[in-house]
Amino acid sequence: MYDINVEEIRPRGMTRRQFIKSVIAAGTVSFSGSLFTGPAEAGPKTPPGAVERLITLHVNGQQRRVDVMPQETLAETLRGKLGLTGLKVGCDRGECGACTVLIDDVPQYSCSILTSSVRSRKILTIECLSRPDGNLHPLQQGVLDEQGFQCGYCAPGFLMATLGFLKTNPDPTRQELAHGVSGNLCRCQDYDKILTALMRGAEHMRKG
Amino acid sequence: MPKNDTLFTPKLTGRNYTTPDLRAKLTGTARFTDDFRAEGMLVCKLLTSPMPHARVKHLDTRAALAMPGVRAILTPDDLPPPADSVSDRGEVIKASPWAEQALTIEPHYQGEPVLAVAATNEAAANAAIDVIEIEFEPLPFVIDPLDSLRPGGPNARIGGNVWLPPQKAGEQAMVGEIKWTTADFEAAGPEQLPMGKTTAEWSFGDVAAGLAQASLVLDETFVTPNVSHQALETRSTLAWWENGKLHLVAGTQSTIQTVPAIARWLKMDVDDIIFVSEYTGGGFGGKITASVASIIPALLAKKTHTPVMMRISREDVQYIGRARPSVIGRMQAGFSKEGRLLALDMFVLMDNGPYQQQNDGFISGRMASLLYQPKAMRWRGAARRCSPTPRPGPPRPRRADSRPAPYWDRSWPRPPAG
Repeated sequence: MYDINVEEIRPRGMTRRQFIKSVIAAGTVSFSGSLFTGPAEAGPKTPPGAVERLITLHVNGQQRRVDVMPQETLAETLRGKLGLTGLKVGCDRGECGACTVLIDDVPQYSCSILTSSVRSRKILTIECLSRPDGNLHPLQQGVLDEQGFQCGYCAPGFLMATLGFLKTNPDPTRQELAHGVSGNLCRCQDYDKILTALMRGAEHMRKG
Repeated sequence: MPKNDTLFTPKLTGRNYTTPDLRAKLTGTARFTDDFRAEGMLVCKLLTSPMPHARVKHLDTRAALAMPGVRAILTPDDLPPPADSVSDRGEVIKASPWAEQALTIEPHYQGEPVLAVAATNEAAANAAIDVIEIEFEPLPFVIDPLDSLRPGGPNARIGGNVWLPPQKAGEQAMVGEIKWTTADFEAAGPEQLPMGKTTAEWSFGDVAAGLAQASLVLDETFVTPNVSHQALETRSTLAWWENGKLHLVAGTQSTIQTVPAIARWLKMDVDDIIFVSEYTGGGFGGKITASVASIIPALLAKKTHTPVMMRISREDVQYIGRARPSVIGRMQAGFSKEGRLLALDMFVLMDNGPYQQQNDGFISGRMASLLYQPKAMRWRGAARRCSPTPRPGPPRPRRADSRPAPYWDRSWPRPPAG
């Protein structure tokens, strides 16, 4: 079975070059850190104590230092402050699943989780799947082979939900997998093809 | 296919291939509008109407403007006046005084944008909207198009409840008023759609004779629903200005229809617009052109000399996100013994939404004619009701979604209102 721990996805560990790139990425997105939140500027509506706190998150195998507000969601932090825009905010109310990430290998809606509650947890986003050399994760390759997804807005959420599900059931029936991704919506109504593609991806993962 | 067809030269038909956009979609690197960032970019939020039809009586933005982080407030006064347009055939169509605007002091549907605030962050923009002093005067509104046709029924707009055909070429359709009579409603009874005065009609063949000859005549009322597109990607738009040119990032189904629309709404030359639409997260007919609201961040960016991202939430989409309009119809169909459709008498009433007239009601007649091939047919449409539904129709519906068969819903009669 293909393990979804990032250490195995990137078995060689992080190179110096990747490390520098990640630091640069963290720096370049800092200006957008005020997109969602802004302690001093939010006016009288800001709840008392809503100040940013520097915390450390474990994201895609890296320790990321980030300032967060107590009321900030993980989707806001990952997209707005860490530049991980692969996950999408489709509904912002825990219905569509486009913001799905793995937290300790369990698929979760990042729009409905407070960042400050997952400090010591292991967070994986779609960005960690393909290898630095551009090789796709077997799940992604399976979906590519079957030309799954149309507009693709829901794809990162579906892929992360599938990875989490396959962790508990690596060889599911089509129906079991359909149940496993039933928390993710596709408005292109491409479910049949998506399932075919995800089943192909699961097959690739079993082959290793 | 003919072998000598020089126009049809398939390269991909019958072969396996990977579309060039798929890898980016699967790795999270595909950039949709919300994923774009511009240096120093501000965030824009909308103040929307809490009522389905109202007029702004009092407005004071001073306290909001003075709040920390707030950079500008855009009001309907900041908009360029409605511009003339050019049709696909090159005809100049004069600007309609009833056209939808990006912001308005007389909202015609609940959730219609009235003001927009640009601030350094979303929390500051929302806080500013909360302290804007604004008072609305409620005006009459209509939810069900049939209600606006009852004797003495309310009008969706000041001045009328239907679109009347243009008086002459180059003019826009006009808002007018039609009311049906009590006798119209009584004649239909509770089970059928009343058929009063309409605004348009066409026919071919002898419908009366066809119905008279028919072995079986069906007379039924049907309803198709308002369908909200609900693309998973909302309608966020990012805009900035550089060297006199507007850079606008938005999802669309058609760049070639979106750029001229934006140019017209902003009274600009198309050559001065750089439109970026790398990926679009679903449209389904709702994003054929950009919506008129997409000029809001462009105008705010001009006002603040700073890039502005208008971030549209799922809740906003329930109001400004567009929908395909509902059609209420009634059909009399006469069949021969062999099942041949001898005559079709079709009557439709379309829930137009408050703005530009939609074509779905008209297309429904053409579709029925094409699909069912009646020997004789009459189509009548009071197809241009303008009623303030919370979901106005798409700006330019082109899709043939009004074909009747798959969507027929025999949910008539409707339950009484309230």
